[in-house]
Amino acid sequence: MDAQTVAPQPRKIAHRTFSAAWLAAGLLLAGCGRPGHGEASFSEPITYKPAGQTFSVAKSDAERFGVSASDFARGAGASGGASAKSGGKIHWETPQGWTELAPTGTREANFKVGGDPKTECYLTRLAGSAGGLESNINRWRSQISLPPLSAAEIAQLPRLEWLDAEAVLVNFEGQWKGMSGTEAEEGWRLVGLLSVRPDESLFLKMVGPTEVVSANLEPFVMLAASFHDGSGHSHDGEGSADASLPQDHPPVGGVSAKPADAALPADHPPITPAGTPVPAAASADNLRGSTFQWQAPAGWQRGADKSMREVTYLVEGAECYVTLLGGTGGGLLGNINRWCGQLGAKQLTESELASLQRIEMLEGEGVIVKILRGESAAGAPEALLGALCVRDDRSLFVKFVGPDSVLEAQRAAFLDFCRSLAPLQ
Amino acid sequence: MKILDSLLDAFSSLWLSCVLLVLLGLLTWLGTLYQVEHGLFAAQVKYFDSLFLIHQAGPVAIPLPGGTLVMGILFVNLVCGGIVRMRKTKATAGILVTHVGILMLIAAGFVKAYYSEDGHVTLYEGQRSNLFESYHHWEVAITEPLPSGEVRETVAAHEDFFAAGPGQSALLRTKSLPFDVEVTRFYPNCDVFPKGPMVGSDVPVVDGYFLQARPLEKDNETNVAGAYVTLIGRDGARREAILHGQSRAPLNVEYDGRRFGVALRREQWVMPFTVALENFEKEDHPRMMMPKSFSSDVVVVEEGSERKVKISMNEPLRQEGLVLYQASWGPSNARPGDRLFSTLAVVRNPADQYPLYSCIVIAIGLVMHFSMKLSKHIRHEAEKVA
Repeated sequence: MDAQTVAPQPRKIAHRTFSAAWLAAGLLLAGCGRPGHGEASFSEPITYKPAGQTFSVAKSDAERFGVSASDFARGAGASGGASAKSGGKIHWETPQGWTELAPTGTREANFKVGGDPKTECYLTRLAGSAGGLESNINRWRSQISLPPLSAAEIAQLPRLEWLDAEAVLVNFEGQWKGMSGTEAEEGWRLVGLLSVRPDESLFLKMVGPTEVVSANLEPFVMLAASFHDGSGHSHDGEGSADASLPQDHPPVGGVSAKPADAALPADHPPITPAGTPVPAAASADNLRGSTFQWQAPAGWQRGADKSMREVTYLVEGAECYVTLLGGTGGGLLGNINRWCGQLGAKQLTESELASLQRIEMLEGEGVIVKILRGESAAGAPEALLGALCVRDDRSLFVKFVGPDSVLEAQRAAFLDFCRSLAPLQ
Repeated sequence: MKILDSLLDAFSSLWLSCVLLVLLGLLTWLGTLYQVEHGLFAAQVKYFDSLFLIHQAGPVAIPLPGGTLVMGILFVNLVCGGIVRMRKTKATAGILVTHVGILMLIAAGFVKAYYSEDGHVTLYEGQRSNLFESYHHWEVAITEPLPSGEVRETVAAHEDFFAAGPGQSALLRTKSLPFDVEVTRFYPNCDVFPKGPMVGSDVPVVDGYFLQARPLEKDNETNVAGAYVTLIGRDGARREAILHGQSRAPLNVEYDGRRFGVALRREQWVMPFTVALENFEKEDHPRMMMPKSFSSDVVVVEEGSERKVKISMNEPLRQEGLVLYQASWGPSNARPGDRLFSTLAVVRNPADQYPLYSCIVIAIGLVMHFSMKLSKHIRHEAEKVA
C-alpha cells in the first residue's frame, strides 16, 4: 500500500474495517463448506488401465484384512507349529511347559504361558506397517496404563534382528487395562517384539502377572528365536540386543554354547532355531561382511557366520565377534553394564565410564572396556574385552571373550581390529 | 452507489491491511507452536486452511479468523486499495506493479490450495505404475473391472464423508452405479479386529470384524482410516461392510450381474504416463552410514515411447504438468544388497511457476519505484549544490 491511497476519515476506520471483514467472511462462508456428511455425489467415472498391476478383489474378509481366522487345523498342545499367510509360512517351537492354543483371529500363534490361565503369548501378523511402530508401541503402553513414549524415546529402545528384519524389544509393567480398556489388573508385565515393515508387520507379545511373565522370559526368548520360515534361514537374535532388558531377562536369541548364553541354566535348551545354516568358515572374501570390512589380525581364525553378527573370529580359545544394531542399541553404559551382568561383575558408574580408554573407531570414538568374571557367574567366560561405538543411527559392538591371559596377549591385535572396521562403500 | 463507495472505502483501508498483516503474523506464530505438538498437517488444517478457528490458550478459548479468510480479505484489500483506488501516476507505477506481483503470489497460493494434486508413487526396482496417491486424504472408490483389462472408477472425496458418525451418515450416490454407499461411521485412524469371545466392542461388529478407533498420530501419513458402510441396492437391499485403509484388496460386490470392488483408500490420481523404476541408487557419506544422495533411474513410458530419466534430489522430472521429485527411500533398516524402494513425490500444480513470475514482477516494481526515488533524490541534491 502507498501513502497516496485515498484514506477514509479516522473515526470511520474501525467501523469500516470490521464491516468489511464480516461481509467478506459472510461471502466466503456462503460459498464454502462441505459438511462431511449428508448426501453427496460420486465423481464422474473414469476409465484407465492400471500399469504394473492387475485389478483383483478379495474373496473373503480374512483375505481383505490379512487376518487368518481360518487356520484352526492344529490341535492344542502340539510341540511345534506353523502358519501360512501371504507373507510366507512361519514355523516355531513351543516352549516346554507352555500350551499351544488354536489361533484366533489375528493371532497367528497362540500360547497359554506356563499353565497360568491369565498369561498369554501370541504372534500377530498384519498387512503393511499396521499403523507404524510408534503407534503400536504406544497402543501397548496404553493397554498397560503407561503414558506414550516420544519418537526419541522409542528410538532408544533396543533393536534386534528377528524374522529377517529389525525388531524392537519392549518391556513394560503397570496396570493391565486390556484391549478394550475395561480390565484393571494390577502388577502386570508386557514383554514384546515389534517388527514393522512396509509389506507386513509382526508382533510377538507376552502379557500377564509380573511374576508369571518374569518366570517365563527364557521360554519367551526361545520361542522368539525359534520362529523361522522353514527355508533353513536363521531368524534368531543376538545376545547383545537385550541391552535394556531387566537384569533377570536372558539374552534374546543367540547361539548355543556361546558366551552370550553362558548365563543360561545348564539344562537350558540351546536357543538355536532348527535349520540354522552355518556357512563355511572362510568365504571368498573373508574381510568383508554385509555391512563392514576390516583387517583380520594375524593368527585369528574366522568362525562360522552367525545371525546378527557381522563376523566372528576365534583365537586360542577366545571368541571375538562384531554386532551392529540400529539406533543406540541401548546406549553405552547400558550395554557395558549388561556385559557386567553377564559376567557377574560390578556395574559401572557414569564417572567410571568417563575414565575408560577411547580409540578412534569408524571415524568417531570407540570406548574400550575390560570386564573380569565375578564370583557369582561361575559358568561365564573369564574375561571380556569390548569395544563400543554408539551413535544415534546405528551402533557397533565388538565383544572379545575368553581366558584373560589370551585377551591380554591379543589386546593390541583386538584394538587394531576395531580400528580397521569400516563401512562398505 | 453510496453503499458501493462505502464498501470500497472499507476494503481499501490501510488500517485493514495492517490488521490483516498482524493477523497473518499471529497465525503463523500460533500455527508453528501448534505444529510442535500436533504435527504439520493438523497445524496446516487448523490455522491456514480454515475460515475460523478457536485457539486454546490454556483455559482460554480465543476465536480467530483462519488463514484462508485472512488471505481472501487481504487479496480484496490489495485489489481495492493497491490497484483500484490508487492514483495512477508515473510516481506510483512501481508500487502498482509491485502490488500486481503480490496479488499474483496470493493467487498462486489459492490455485495451489484448491487446484493442485499432491502425492507420491512408491516403487521397488522393477515395478511400474501410472498412479500416484495422496499422503493425507482418503476416498471411497468403486472400481469395475472391464473385459479389456481396463477399470472404470468412480470415487467420493474425503470431504463428502469425513464427518460421518452416529446420527449423521453420509450418503454417496451416482446414477452410473446400481447401488449407493452410505458411510455410517468414519474413523481417521483405526485398526480392524476380528471379534473374538474375549474381545469387547462398543461399535458394530460386521461379519465378525469391528473397527477400533485410535488417537490420531502426529504424522498424518501414518494414520489409517476405516469406515462402516452400508451398500444400498436399487431394490432397497442393504448390505453392511467394513472398509479399512490397509486392506489388501477391495470388497467384492455384485449388482445387476456386474462385479465391483469397493475400497477406502488414499486419494489416487492417474498419470498420463507410466513410470518404471529400473534402478535406485543411494550414496552414503564416506565411511559413514548417512546417505549423501539418492536417485532413481526411471523409464517414462508414454504412448508406446520410452524415455530414460534420472530423478535425483535436486533434479525432478517435469512431464505433462506433473513434477516428480525424489522424496525418500526405504526400508530404512536395509543392508547392502537388500531390495530398496524409492518414493517419488508427485505434484500437479497449475501455478507451479507462479511464485517465480510473481517475484520477478515484484522485483521489477520495486526497481522501478526505487529508481525513480533515487533519481529524484539525485536531482534534488544536484539542485541544492547548484
